[in-house]
Amino acid sequence: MNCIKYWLLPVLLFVSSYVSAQVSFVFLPEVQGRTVDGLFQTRLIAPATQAGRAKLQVTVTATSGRVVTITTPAFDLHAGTNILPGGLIGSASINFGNTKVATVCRQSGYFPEDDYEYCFELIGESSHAGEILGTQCYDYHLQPFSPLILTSPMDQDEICDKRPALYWQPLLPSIPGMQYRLLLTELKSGQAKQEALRYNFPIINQQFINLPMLFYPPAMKELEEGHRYIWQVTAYRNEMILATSEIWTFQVHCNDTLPTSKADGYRNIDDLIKGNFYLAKGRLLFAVNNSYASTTLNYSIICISKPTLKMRKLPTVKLKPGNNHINIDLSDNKSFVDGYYYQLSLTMPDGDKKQLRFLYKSDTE
Amino acid sequence: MPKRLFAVTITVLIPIALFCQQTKPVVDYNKLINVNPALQSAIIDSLNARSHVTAVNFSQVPHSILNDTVKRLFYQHVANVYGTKQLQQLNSNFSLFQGRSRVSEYMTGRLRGFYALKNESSALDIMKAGAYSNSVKQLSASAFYDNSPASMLKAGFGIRFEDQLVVGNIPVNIIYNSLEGTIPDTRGIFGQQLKKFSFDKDAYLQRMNGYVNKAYDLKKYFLQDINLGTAVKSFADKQLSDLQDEMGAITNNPIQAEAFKNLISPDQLIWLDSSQIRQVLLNNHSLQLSAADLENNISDSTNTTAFAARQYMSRIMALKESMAQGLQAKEMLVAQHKTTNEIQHSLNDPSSQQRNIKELLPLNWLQKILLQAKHINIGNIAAGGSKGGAENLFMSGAEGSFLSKNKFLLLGLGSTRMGGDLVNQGFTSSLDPGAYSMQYLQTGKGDINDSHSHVAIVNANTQNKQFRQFDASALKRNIFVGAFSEQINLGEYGNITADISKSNTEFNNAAVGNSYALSSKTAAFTFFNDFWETLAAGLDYNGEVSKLGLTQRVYFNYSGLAYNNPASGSGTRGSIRYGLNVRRTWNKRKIMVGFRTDRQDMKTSATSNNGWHNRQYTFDARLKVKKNVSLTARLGQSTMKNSSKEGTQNSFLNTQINLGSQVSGKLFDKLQTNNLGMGLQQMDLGIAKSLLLNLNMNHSVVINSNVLSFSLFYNKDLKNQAVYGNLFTAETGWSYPLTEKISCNSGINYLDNANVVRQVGIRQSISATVLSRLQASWYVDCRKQLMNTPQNYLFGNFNTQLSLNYQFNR
Repeated sequence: MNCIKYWLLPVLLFVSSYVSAQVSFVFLPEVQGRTVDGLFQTRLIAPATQAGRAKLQVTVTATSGRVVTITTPAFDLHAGTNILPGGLIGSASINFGNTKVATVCRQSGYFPEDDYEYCFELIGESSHAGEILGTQCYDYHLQPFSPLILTSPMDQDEICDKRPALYWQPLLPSIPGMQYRLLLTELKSGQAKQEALRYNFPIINQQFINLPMLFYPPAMKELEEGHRYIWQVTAYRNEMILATSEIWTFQVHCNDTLPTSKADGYRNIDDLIKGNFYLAKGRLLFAVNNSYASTTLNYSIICISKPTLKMRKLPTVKLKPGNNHINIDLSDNKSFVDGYYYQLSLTMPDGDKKQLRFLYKSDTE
Repeated sequence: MPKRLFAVTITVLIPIALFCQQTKPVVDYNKLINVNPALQSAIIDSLNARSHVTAVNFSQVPHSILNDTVKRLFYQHVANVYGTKQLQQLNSNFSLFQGRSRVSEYMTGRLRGFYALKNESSALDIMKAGAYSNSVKQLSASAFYDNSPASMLKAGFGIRFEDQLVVGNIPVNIIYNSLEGTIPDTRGIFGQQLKKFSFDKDAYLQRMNGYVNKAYDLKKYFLQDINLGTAVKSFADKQLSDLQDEMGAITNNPIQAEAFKNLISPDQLIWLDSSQIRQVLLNNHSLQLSAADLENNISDSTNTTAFAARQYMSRIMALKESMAQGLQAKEMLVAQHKTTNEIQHSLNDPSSQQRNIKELLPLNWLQKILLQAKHINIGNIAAGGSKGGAENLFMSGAEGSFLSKNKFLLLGLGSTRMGGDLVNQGFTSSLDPGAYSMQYLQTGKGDINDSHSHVAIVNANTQNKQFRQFDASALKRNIFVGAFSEQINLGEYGNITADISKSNTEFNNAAVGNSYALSSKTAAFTFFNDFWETLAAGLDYNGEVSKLGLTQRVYFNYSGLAYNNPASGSGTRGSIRYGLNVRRTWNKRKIMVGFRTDRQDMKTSATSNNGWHNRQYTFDARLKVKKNVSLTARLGQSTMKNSSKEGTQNSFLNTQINLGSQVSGKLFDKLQTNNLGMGLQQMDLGIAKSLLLNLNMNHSVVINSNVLSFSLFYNKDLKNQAVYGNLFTAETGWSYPLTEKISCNSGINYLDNANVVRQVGIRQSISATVLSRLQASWYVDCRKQLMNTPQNYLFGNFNTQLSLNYQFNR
């Protein structure tokens, strides 16, 4: 995107100061100049005449003085582009400077913010012993990366959207070619986040993201109500991991889903009347048999605890032939007070009258 | 460094000042038996007669001993359960309950166990019978194909197998997980097999507790079959009636004699102290005593009442003392009352179960250790303890934690890597060292999830290894981290955790300054080097006030610029992070308001104050207007600023306002739900400044047993700066049951991402319970590209997923 290109300009200014020998170095200070280990991702381009054994010495100097000098053991340099052999730097020798910058580097492996000069020197061994096969220096103002922070959905959040957009904060300063990879996985009950990330197939496993956000991929199966999910963002350049965010969790939990009433919640009203005590939690649930045609239920409710209480309009309830599951929602009716006793009077189509006393309890959720 | 010093002092001192612990008193049944010869005899008699204890008579204490047959059985029981060594010990100084000599409480415990045996078959035989078993728990398989251009895997296939193996009564859960996939463009296949073996503590306790209940009658073990209360009271009653007979002889006034007779009840004798008993005497109207009458030094023989009362008092006190000393009457009653209350609870309480198992079952050394284990995991596992030490790790290795007598120990050993797994497939290197081998430990007082004071250490070494394409080359170094963590529970008000941690890194073959003598030091030996730069500390308060519907969290974290803990998943170098999260509900959760802020200042320079400053604020509210109508609002902002010599500049800004509603109810006699969301978002990144409008709506209607749903999503950049493309999607779906066990959803959808891609397609999903234990589901989304451009890196046109899950014996 264009915007990034402009934004990156100030940090792209590195200068190759001088090139004096035949072996040249390909070094990207904005990536490889951030850590002591990164220095050795430099590629060496050697002409056929310089092939042979050699060792690499890298010296990094900040404004306050030398930070570190690292010398690798000897390795085989081939004609053409060389990457350093795997494991070579494991036995490199290191000499740190005495400055504050060197202390931070010695303890963390990271270079703090400063103006650096990175100098690479390739020293010949065996047939070229002692000979400088190539030397090259780079100047670069290094600014360490900002933390990679997730934004939304917040950690431990409950969301209603089953196809949520995911947002995070960009890794700054932006460097050319930097992109994000996002991973979203279900967190099964009892599973540790770290295990869920590796044991479950990711739901979203997407790379090449240029902006600090991702719309939920439209072709993907939507997230499921009640399930928990974890997500993590990785910032990378080409094939190198630059930074990884924390792992955040969220749960898809919509407050108002379709209310479901279990069939066993309905007991025959005659049994309830015999039971002499009925607790109505926000609603009256009962079963009643109608042997006549469809009609509306003829019912009224009075308050026993406070007979003067004016009863507001009660919902209309339809009665179909046969057995009916009646659900009278009282929760939004202000005439129903938590802890008061009420009496329901029903007149069935056959003229049968029923009365049910109940205690009203407001449904907390 | 006053700021740093302040942070560290606060973090360390507050928790120490607040830390306190309480221990629960436990009834000691062995002591109870040891001091009550009558109880001993009752048990021994019952064992000799092989019948239940009928009654304990404290008034007559016979010197019972086990008869030879029972003694032999007892020896056999001890040898079976506790080993021959203990039997020898028992033989050498066997004087069990002979005379009044006290045997060790240890032996009494063994006898209690023997007394509680349900039958003569040994616990060992029962345990041997069920020592080995294997049960497959679950087998599931899944497969997918996704052709979106940015997908890390195009097609994938996964298998998960769960099994429980019991060896020597130790249950081990085994998970084998294999995920394979094809990598886009390269046609390569990437596969990963993960394994995890974990000791199943719950199953172990359940199994062992089953053996305890099979072999022993725990009610007998806790002397619940003996009615101690009645025994003690009848003993007291007998003693009192003897005393009353004596009193009849002392006083010749029949009214007073009668008064003495009913003066003190057995209960009062047991429970009242001397001054309370005096008070009872003084309050009796028939006796008409004064306080002076009860003083011992008045020798007024003319006042027979006073004399009688003094006699009575001294006899009562002697009686009381004999009951207290010899019988531990009060303790016995308290113990039995307590046990009656607790016995049911203790049968289900893991810590009591654990104690019973330890006391009653023949366990080998491993089984004993596992009784103290909280968890043991081996394989590819999530690992770690408290913050500051090892935390949020994923490693190949082993970890175990143990808790014994409130002492906690966590041990771990393994290696971590940043690449080479499916989760970070495609990457070949990382900025951080790519792999470590590490060992860590955390130990101290208190359980890790409860109030505790722990120290933790981590020792880590970089590893130069290749994991498939991932190259974890790094300069060789040794890192040592020492940490202290503390948690204080504030009861219902939540808990405070605090941690302080210090790291030290030593490179191999390294020297400092002009010294060219290279050395490879052990980081632990130079632990205190560069103290302030490598220090980290944190304080976190999490709590709630349920009366007010309030939950809150406040935290503060500091870490030095060179702090380096490879065993910690979180934590940033050189930063101060602090934040607040408060949430309150009113009126039975009808109104909810939340505020959250997270702030992070990250120093990037060792020589100046340059750095990153991050601020995140979120304010959200929910109002439940009616039971089926809710409104939500969220206002959030996140900013990143950079400060340098040149001043402070904004690097990133994201402000979002979202409003939403959720409504459900009947319309046209059909149950409907509607979720509506609207958002306005400003996003400034570099020079691009966008103002985005987001709309989304989901609506569903229940028609008989089917659900018809629509959803719309629309996003538009009002300033046309196009930080991201304008996207419009519309979908409709119809959910319906095909048969009782098969349900389906069919839908059509449309997508338009301005000038990049336009698609129309169908979607189908089926889920079925084929057999009672086999669930299967299939999903496919297939679209026709009406328009496509090379800029499209997100939207594929074919996605399908299949999953099968079979649960064995559940």
